[in-house]
Order: sequence, then structure tokens, then C-alpha cells
Amino acid sequence: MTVDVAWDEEVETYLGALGKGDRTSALGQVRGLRGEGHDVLALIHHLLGPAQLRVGELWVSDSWSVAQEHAATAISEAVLTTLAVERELSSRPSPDAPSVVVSCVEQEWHALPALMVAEHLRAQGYAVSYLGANSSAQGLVRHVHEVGPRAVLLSSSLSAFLPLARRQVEAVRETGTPVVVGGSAFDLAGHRARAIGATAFAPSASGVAELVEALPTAVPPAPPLTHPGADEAFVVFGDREAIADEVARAVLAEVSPHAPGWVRVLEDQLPHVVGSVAGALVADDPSVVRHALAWAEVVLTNRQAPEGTGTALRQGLADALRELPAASRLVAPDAAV
Amino acid sequence: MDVHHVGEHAQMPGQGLLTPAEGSPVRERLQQASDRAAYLSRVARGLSGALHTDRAVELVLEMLVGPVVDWAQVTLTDRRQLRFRARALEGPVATAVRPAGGLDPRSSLGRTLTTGLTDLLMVPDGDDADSSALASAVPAEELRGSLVSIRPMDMLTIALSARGTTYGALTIAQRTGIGFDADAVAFLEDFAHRVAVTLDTTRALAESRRVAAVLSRDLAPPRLPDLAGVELATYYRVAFEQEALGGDFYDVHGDDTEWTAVMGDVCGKGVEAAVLTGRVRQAVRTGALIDRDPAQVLRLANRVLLADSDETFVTAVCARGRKVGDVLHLDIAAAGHPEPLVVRRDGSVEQVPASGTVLGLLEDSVYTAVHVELAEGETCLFYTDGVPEAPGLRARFGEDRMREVLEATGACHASAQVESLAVALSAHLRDRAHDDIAILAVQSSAR
Repeated sequence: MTVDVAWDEEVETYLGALGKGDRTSALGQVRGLRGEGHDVLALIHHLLGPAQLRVGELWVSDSWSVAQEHAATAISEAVLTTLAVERELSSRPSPDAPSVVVSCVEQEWHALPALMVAEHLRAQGYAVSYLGANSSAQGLVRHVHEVGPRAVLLSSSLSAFLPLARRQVEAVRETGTPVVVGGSAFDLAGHRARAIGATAFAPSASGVAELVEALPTAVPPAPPLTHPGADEAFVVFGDREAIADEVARAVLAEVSPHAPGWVRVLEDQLPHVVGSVAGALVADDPSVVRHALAWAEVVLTNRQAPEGTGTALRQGLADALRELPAASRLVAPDAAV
Repeated sequence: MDVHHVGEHAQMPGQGLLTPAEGSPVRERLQQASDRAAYLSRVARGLSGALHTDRAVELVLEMLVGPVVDWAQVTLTDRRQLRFRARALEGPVATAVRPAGGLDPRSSLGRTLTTGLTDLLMVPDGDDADSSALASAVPAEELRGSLVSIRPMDMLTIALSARGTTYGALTIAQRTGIGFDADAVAFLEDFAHRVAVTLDTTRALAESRRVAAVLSRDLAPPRLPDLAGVELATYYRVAFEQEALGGDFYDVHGDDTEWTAVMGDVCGKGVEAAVLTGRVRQAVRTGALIDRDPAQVLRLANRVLLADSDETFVTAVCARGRKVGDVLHLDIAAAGHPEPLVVRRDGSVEQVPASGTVLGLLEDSVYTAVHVELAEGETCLFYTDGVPEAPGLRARFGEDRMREVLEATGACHASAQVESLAVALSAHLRDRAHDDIAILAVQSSAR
């Protein structure tokens, strides 16, 4: 028996608790809704998911600090984990339930999408090993060797981590296990997922059980990447910190940092922008760079970065990557923007 | 639902791998020999990374059924049980389990498992799924259904042997007419031999993994207790990912009225260090049973370490927690360990001046506890030197950056404070090698 709920209002209330770092209220609200008969999946779909999107927007528009964003995300994760634990105590998967492993790509901290996927699969009777955010590549493969799962589901939110996603797809396929990728690092048509060698692409958390159902039982190792620029991806990725550093210096030499609030954001975000060049190269999709640059400009503009910052950033990037032909083509000032 | 399938399915061109080549032109025979060699090398490559037995068996079935034969079954036995996995051209992999004692030693499968020799069985037309001929090679009746459409057929059962033991068998079915000539049998035996070595490796690995898992159960970070009026949050990364164990440790034990939290860092990394953390944690648990005074607990742990002959040093910080009304009272003693940080309600960060000699160094080390009171929402953060020492592009992470991150995060849930620190640390570290890292946050909360 469920009670009709005005979800918009619930999301506002929930965001209010997140903004104050108030886990007790957030958990209390969610438990109340559970008590009214809404299951975990409904709460993810109507409350936690939409709230998380808003958290991202609030950060981009500079309404929330990065610390508030982290605190909010940590609370939603804790809430979801608590719900999952409570559910698990009431219904354990059957001993012969097919097992799957759900993990974030290495260095990826956005755990909510993976948690949601894990919940959907648990609801469908899968025995889910959830490895969480920032899991190590070696830990993932070790776990796959131990469990021998039906499939591995890998979530990546930032396109800068596509090279790491590729490495993990390779490592998992090496074990013969199918690997499904998903998350906002990928395009909805599945082009990037296909390019990095994933067995399948999950455009949303809700359809993931049917997707796993349809996977082949075993897959051969991932064929090597042959598209132009694939090798450069790993050069750029491995060197992204030094490249980002060089670009930051170039930008700050060009525009004066009067209000220095945006400088830290610039320094924090540049490795992701440089990483997106590597992401575009490994996934054979130039739009990765375009989106990352456009996004960085919005973030910086909202933080009162001086006019010309965006242009300086593009020029700095083009200069820093000048010795890498494929990367240079992606960031050339005359590249289609 | 929107389903996009990407990537290629395991499709290996293998047509003609079994077709009798005798009497064919030399060119065709050479081509078949070369196809067979190429196929076997693809199989070896495909299986090379599969270290889980079931997964490896499924890969074998995937590579065999379709490209080479119409149906295949892998049987594995461990003296107690027979485990079967079978696959036909259509449909999913089917599994079955039977007690090992129930197998007729004179059946086709029984003969192969006992003698290690290849057994050829002809199943005539009109023979149904319950026939004794079929049961001779496929004792689990639920796996025979998928064989009904292949009649008449030849069934070949080949032993899977390694380390001097036949531990299983590969059974394959092929419609009569294509059949198995001597050449094809030799090829399939070669295939089975290669597969047998790989599968045996996965079996040996599973056994040693099981032993390691049991032995290391107490060495991995423990699950923390639920304590009334206290929130706990942790972060833990090891330096040697491949060993999954490290020299940093933490532990919390006790009950709502009084409890002990400990964090420490054993010199060294990896499994050797982890074994020592187990000893220290045990000493702390035992000491805390007698007296929760952290100064006494550390003194005892120091003496336990010194009683062990090998020279090992351990830094540690130990706290006793008690809730008095809404306030969490902590007594904190340290042994050569980084000083804990307290995050106040206004977001300010203080260092707790707890110091003392490293454990395992001096016989008569004495420790003194520092008293800290935390109002609701205030946090005490314990960490190992892996946090400030984390290397970056130009400099280590440093205590200043730790404070900066914690001040920016301010008073909020302990898990959010730990996560903020962990995210900043991860962005600083990138892919660089690092020491073991541990963070334990203790927060005073509403009951």
C-alpha cells in the first residue's frame, strides 16, 4: 500500500537536508517514505537520482561549494547503503543466484550511479558484489577471479577516465567475463562503449537486469585498439597532470587572477579537461573534448573567471599538446566547436 | 528498454576443423592443419586470463560449441561430487551436480574418469533421452534434453588430466556423418590436453585462494560496531594493491558505555606487515578488556611487541570513548603517531597534542592520555602518515592541505568529512605509488 507523494517537494526537502550536511534528517525522510510503502528502487528513481542531478547543477552554478557537493553526495551514498543493508537483512539472495560485480572505474568517485545499478540488480535476484567508488583495477580483477561472476558492470561518470575504463575492460575481458559499461562518461548511442571494447552498454540503471540476461556467457580478450590516436590517448593520460600544470600557467600568464576563487577550480578541473583529450582519443569521439571544454567554461564563468579565460585555456591546451598530432587536431583553435 | 549490444561475440571461424581430410588434395589437408593450429592458439589466448574454474569451463564450451562441435559437456570431480556444465548450439549453459559415488565405473564417462583413456560412443537413431547409451556419457538427465535433435550421433569422452590425476572429462557430441576420424580425435585430444592444464591451474588457485582468504580474514580492516551516539567513518587504501593487505590498521571495540578505538602503522608493507598488525590489534583488544585507559593499553601493547624477538616498530594512537550526556569524552594516547585532528562545530580544525614513544622500541615507555570533549556534530579524525606523506606532482599532500580540506568541508556527517579528504587525496595522488593510507573518523552524534 503506497501513499501518493509530491516528489518535487520531497526532492526539495531532501536537498535542504543535503545542503546542511544533515544525514539524520535525510535518512529520516527516506525511512519515512519507505514506511509508506515506497521501495528502494522508487526512492532512487524519484528522490535520490533527481536530487543528485540537482547537486551537480548547484555546484556548476557556484551556488554550492565543492565541499557541500561532496558532503551531499556522501550523505546520499550513506542513505542508499543503509537502505541496501536493511533490505539485505530482510531478503538475502538465494544461494544459486547468478553473481555480478558492480564497480566504479578506478579514480572515479561518483558512486551513486553504480549503487543504483547494484540496487536494480539485487531487486532482480542477483547476488551483487559492490566494490564501490575508487576501487583499484587490481582489486577488481582479483575479485573477478574469486567470484567468477556472470558479468562485470563498470560505471564511469567523467569522460577523463575513459582511458582507465578501457584498461579495466581489457583486464576483465582477459578473464573471459563480459563487461557492461555505463555512466555519463559514455554517449547514449554506445559509440564510446563500443570503441573501448565493452561487451554491452547500459544507457540507464533501470534496464540493466535484462541487459545482463542477454549477455554471452563468455567473451574473448578485447582486440587491440587500432583507430588513429589510440596510442596517444595513453601518452596524454599518463602525462595529464604535467600538461594541466603547463596549461594553468599559460592561462594565468594571459589573464590576471584578480578574484582568485576561480583559480583553485581551474587547477582542480584542468586535469579533467586534459583527461578528456585522452578520453576522446581512446573512445574515438572528438565530442568528448568539445563537451569538456564547454563545461569547463561554464564552471569558470560562474566563478567570475575574467573574460578571455576560455580562449586562453584553448590556446594553452593547443600549445601543450602540439607534439601529439591526433591530440592537436582535437584541440586546434579552428577545430569545430 | 533500450538495449545496445556492442563488441563482438566469440565467433571463431572453425568450419572444417573436424571434417575428415584423408583423400583430399594436399592443399586442403595443409589448410586444415593450419586452421587447427590457429584455432588452438586462439583457445590458448582466450583461456590465458581465466583464473576462475567455472568461468574457464564456460569459455571452453563457448569456443568449442558452434565453431567445432554441436554439443559439449565438461565434467569435473573432486572425489565427493561430479559437477557438469553442458552447452548446445542453442540455449544457455546448463549445469548439474551429482554425488561422485553414483557414477557407474563401466559407463562411458566412468571408464574415462577411471582409466584416463578416450572413449567413443555411438548413439543410434530413434534413441530417446532416457536411453542407457546416452546416460552412459551424460548421467545427468537434465542435460540430455539438448541432445534430442542431434541423432544419430557420435559421442567422444576425453579425459582432463593434470598432475598425474584425471580430475574431469570433456564429452563432445557430433551428428554421425561428420564423425571423428583418427585425425580428428588426435586434434580433440590435443585440445583437451591444453584445456586440462589451464583448468587444473584454476583449481589449484581456487584452493590456495580459499586458504589465503581464511588466514587473512582477521587481517583486513574489520567491520566497525554500531555505538549509540557515535558515528564512525573510515577510508583505507593499501600500498600493494596486489596483496590487498597492508601495515596500517584500525579497530573499534567495546559497547555503548565505553569503547576503545585504535589506529596504527606497522613499519613495512604488504602481507608481512599485515600479520604484525594482527598481533598488535589482538594485544590492544586484550589490554582493553583489562583496562580501557589508552595509556595502559599502549603500555601493554609495547611490552607484547618487545617480548617478540624480531625488531619491529609500530606507531599507534589509542582512544577511549564515553558518552556523557550529549558530549563524547575521548582520552587519547599516542605512540609516535601523527596527532589526530578535531573538527569543531564552527568548522575550525584543532590538533590533539598526543605524543609518546613508538611501540616496540623501549622497555619502559610510559604514555599519557590527552582529554578531548566533542559536542554533537564534532569529529576526531585519526590518520596514518600515508595521508600527509602522499606524493603529488610537486609536493606531498601535507598537514596544511588536510586542514584546508577539513575546514572547507566544515561540520557535517563524518562520512562526508572522510570522503572529502579521500577525494582530495586521490586527486593529489593520481596514479603515483603511495604508502598504506588509513583514516578513521569518530563523531559525536545524537543517540
